[in-house]
Amino acid sequence: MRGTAVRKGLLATVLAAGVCAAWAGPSEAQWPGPRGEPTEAELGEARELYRQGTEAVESHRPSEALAAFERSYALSGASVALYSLAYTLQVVGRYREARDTFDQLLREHRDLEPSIASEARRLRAEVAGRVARLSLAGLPEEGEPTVLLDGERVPDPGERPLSVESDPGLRVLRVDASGFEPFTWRGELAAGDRLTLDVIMNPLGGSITDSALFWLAIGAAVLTTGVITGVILYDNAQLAPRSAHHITL
Amino acid sequence: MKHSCAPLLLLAAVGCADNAILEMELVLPEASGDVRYAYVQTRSGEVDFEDAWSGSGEVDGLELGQDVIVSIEADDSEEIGEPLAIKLRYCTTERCTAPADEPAQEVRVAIERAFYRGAFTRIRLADLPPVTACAETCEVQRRDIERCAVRGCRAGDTTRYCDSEDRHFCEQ
Repeated sequence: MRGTAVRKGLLATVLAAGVCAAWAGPSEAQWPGPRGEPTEAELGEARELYRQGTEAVESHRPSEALAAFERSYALSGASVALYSLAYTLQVVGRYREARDTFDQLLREHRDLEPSIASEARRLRAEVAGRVARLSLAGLPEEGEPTVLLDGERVPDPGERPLSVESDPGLRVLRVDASGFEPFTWRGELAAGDRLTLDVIMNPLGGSITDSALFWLAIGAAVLTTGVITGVILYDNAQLAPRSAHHITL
Repeated sequence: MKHSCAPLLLLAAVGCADNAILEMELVLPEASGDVRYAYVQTRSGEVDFEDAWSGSGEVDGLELGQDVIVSIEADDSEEIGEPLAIKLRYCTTERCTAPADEPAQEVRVAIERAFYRGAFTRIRLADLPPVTACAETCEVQRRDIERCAVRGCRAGDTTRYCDSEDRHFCEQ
């Protein structure tokens, strides 16, 4: 694992000193730390959990690792546990959470060793670039629209178009608004994708074809594709592969 | 609307070819240890990923750590319109023939529909997992790609490649 040498160095420091690098008290942080100074027993349990988490990562059991690192951090507030939590989130593709966890690490543990802070900033930038973003255009002004991504409600601070972050993968987005039929979109988002989604919602009991805007959009699409089609129509050859790697079924 | 090869204004950018090509872009992870290659196999129709695929529909020797495009061609009318299954394995050899490559870390991709006669379509797999060491059991991940997420027959980029009646642009 990249950064393993860095993490082991941190772990050794924590284990040898027997104290936390810094403990994080209750805050709006994504991952809560201890409420007060950890006891020796809590530190001991935190070290054991950290060891279990590391073992789980090396055995390809990331879910167990995440639980162990989270619990270790909650007991000790040790930056190494939070760093490992962020790193493991990144490995399993939970890029938004990984980015936010790196942010918490850099914000709440300002006494990180420079090399570790530098690595954390680098990884943070890397995972931030992998977060996909949907820009929802055309949300209705009336009907108090609510947006769900994979069943979870998306916060709407009122900006338009509304920006929705997502980890890569197949995603389902649904928009509900009073007086309108629901709008649903399903698509595969790649890492770092930036897509604009035109939310077209039919009024209940009406039809989108009643809208003049619909016919204007169709007209524009016909004009565009007609031009493209005119070029391709006169190419009567079979399609030829355009890359050096070719498979014929 | 059915397409025609006559010089008339049509509503879709399809030509007069009988075959179809899916251009699959792979953002391959970095090599790790002895694992240096991605071995790609494809099959059309309803297939069992658990079976050992052999025969045609393969390309080997894709070096890890690069972006690569693989052109997958369907020239049989039965294959066009069928689902497409893709196996990608990370191996120490170009065709996963070494003992160390059994088992191998694997990504399985199931595409609801990849081909439309006379059209180029495209998908991009940019979130492939990194290479991780494995011994007796190796990670197997699956990706499912629905037909409206397969790019094609529309200039530029759009969020979805089906119209409001859920027909793919390449079917118009």
